[in-house]
This record gives sequence, C-alpha cells and structure tokens, in this order.
Amino acid sequence: MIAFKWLGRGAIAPFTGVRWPADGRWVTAPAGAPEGSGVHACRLAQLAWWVGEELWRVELDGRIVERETEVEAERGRLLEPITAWNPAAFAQACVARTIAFASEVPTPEMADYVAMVTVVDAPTASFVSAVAAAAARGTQKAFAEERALQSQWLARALDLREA
Amino acid sequence: MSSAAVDQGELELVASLRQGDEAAFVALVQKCHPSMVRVARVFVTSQAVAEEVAQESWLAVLEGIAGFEGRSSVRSWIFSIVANRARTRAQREGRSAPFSSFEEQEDEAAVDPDRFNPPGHRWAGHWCAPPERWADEQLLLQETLQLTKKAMETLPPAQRQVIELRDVEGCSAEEVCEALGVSDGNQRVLLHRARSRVRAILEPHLRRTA
Amino acid sequence: MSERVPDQPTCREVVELITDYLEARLPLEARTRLEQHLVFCDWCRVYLEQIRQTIRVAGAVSEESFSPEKREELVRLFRDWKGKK
Repeated sequence: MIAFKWLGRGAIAPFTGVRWPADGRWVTAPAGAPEGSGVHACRLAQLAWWVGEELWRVELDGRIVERETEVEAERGRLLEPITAWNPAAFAQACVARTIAFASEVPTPEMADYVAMVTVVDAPTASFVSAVAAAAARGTQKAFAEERALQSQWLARALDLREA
Repeated sequence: MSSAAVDQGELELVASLRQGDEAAFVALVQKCHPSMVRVARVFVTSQAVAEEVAQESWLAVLEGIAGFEGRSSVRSWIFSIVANRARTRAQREGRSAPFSSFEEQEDEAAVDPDRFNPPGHRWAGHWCAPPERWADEQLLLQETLQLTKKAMETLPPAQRQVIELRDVEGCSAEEVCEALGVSDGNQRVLLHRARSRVRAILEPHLRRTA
Repeated sequence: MSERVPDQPTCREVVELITDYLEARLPLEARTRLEQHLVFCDWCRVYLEQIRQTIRVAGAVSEESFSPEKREELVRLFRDWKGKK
C-alpha cells in the first residue's frame, strides 16, 4: 500500500527519535510487539492529524490495519520526500479558515483562536483551526471534520496520489 | 537493559556454579553484588546492613542454585532473594510500616498543578509554565549524577524500590513485580511517581540549556 | 478548549499518562490521542524527553567499585559452602 508519513527533520521518527533509513530499506516492527507498535502512516484523508517537518511517500507491507486517523503496518519503507511541502502555506490556509469561522461567529472565544492561529507553527495551526471549527459549529465532530478538510487541502496542494 | 528472558551466558554460569566452579561464582558476584547491595539498601537503614544482607543472600543463592529452574533470569531470582531478606531484616529491626503495603493512598500529581492553566481558562490544562529543554551534556556531569542519587534517597521507600530496580538496575517490569511482590499496575504507579519526583528535583538545576 | 474537544488530552493529562505511554500500556485509542497532542505541543515533547533523560541519568548511577577485600570475603563464603556440601 502506498501511504504518507510525517517525520522530523532528517527523517527522524517524532516520538521515538529513531532515524528512518533514507535509502528505502524496509523497516519491520518487532514481532509480537503490542498493538500499535507497528509502522504508522497516513492515508490522504488522515494527513492533517500528524503534520511534521518532513512528509514522505512510503510503501507499507505485511498485515495492515486501517484506523480512524492512521494506518499501521508490519513493514514500511520510505520512497521519496515530498519536497513541495510548504508549512507556511498550510498554516496560512488554517489562519484563513479560522478568520472565516470568527466572522461567522464573532465571539471573544473565536477572537482568541484567531490571535493564536496567526502566531503558531503549522501543526499547531491545524489544531487551533480545528478547535475553532468545533467552537463555531458547536459540535465536537466538527473538529475531526475540519481535519478531514485540511487533509484534502494538503493532498490537493501537494498533488498527492495514493495509487 | 535486562528483561525477564533468560540469558544464555547466565545459564552457563549457573550450570558451572552447580558444579562448584569458583570462577563462575566470582563472575556472578562481580556481575550482581553491587546491585544487590543497592537493592537491599532501599529496604534497610544503613549501608553496612545492606552489605550484610547482600552477603547473606549469596549463601541463599548457593543453597538454592540446585533448584533454580531458569523460569526467570538469574538476576531476577537473586534480586527476589535479596529483597525478601532485606524486607525481613528491616521488619526485625522494627521499621514501623511493613513494606508490603505498596498501596499509595493519596493522589500525587506528576507536576505542580500551578504549571498548567486553571479550569475556566481558554487553554485550561495546558502548560502556562512549560518545561525548558535540558542539554544532554549536562546530564553526563558528576553533579547531575550525584543530584539524581540524592533525589532517589528522598523518595518514599516503595517508589525508591521500584525506580532503583527498573531504572538504576534495568530490571523489567515482571522482574520487579516478582522481587517486590506487587502487581504490574502498582509497580507502574510507583514508577510514575518516582520518575516524576526525580525529574522535578533535577529540573531547577538543569533548566539552563547550554 | 478542552470542553470543545474533550477527547483530546490536555498537557496536564498527558504528563499523568506519560509512564503508561513509555511502558506501552496505554490503550490504543489513548495512545493515538496522546501522540496527536505531541504533534503540536512542543512543551509536552520536551517533558517526554525529560522523563527519558531522567531514566537515562538514573541508569548511570553506579556503585563504587567492588573491592578486592569484598571479593575475598565472598570467595571464602563460597569455599566454606562448597566444603560443607
């Protein structure tokens, strides 16, 4: 399966600090490890949940489990970096969305979200604008829906394909 | 870090030891004795007593070695012996609370609640006094090591025992549960609290990054 | 904010879950939510790293070297035991 993976600078896994081999070698999760310990990646619809410094196109293999915000596989390897990834442009799109929500629902709370989203980095802008969506709509599910829209934006802006 | 998995080298040591091989005994002693003293030390009142307990434990190890079945690692088995002897010795010396009570009653916050925004705040529960990155170079300094040692000495006994066995000695969770006779959940709560406290003690000293 | 999205953990909740996370004992859903928080929260990433650093420093705490006298005492103990077997 082709999927996408967010990593820290230098292809470093963000939570463990482990470096992913840039030469495309397969990385296999340890056998018998607990559920959730495999190789994690995103389908296009899940991109916005895991925004990081680098975005890579990856190949997954072995047993693959698809979950709400990620996929997990036994094996994975990096294929190519998505060099078109532009965090500032994405953050700006999140700012625009937040401003739009605030003009629909002009409350002090929404003003706080606008103030914040304009000064933070891309991953935080994604989070704040999704919270703003939930506040504007008054539903928790608007948070996840906004993330889905952000994912679509990313897929389009970066011209990503899953096939 | 060791795990409960049996180590082939250890099994060979055990086999040789059963045959009365003195070199095997010496090898095992060099491997385990300082840790045994540390383990005993968290139960008993003094270094000297901890030494005695560790020494007596070797006799128990020798006497029990014929019956050791290898279901746990040798280290884990040895640590259980030490922990039991140390606990008995502590009780005999009239330590007030029996160390078998590992139920930590009160809630203990990992971080001072004042460091987070209070309820009602827009970002309630998020850091308002966030932690600052520590430079790795500072961690390697003697002062940091000494501070860490001192910090562990200030811990409540049950927390100290767990962090000593898990993080200082590198025992697995299973080994610790076996050595201390506690459940995995208990062990994890104690470990959580111990690590949180030690981090908090280190923090003001490590705050300035290089 | 946490009232708007109650299933997203706050930093305060994250620091309490950190040991379960490192021990791989968080249920999958909670683990995923915690990691989603770490994506944007630099401060909690620093905290997580500090706990890891605390573990490393604890691991470096080592005993004074093992004296030859101590070694001899234990060897004597061994020979006594062997003699009595």
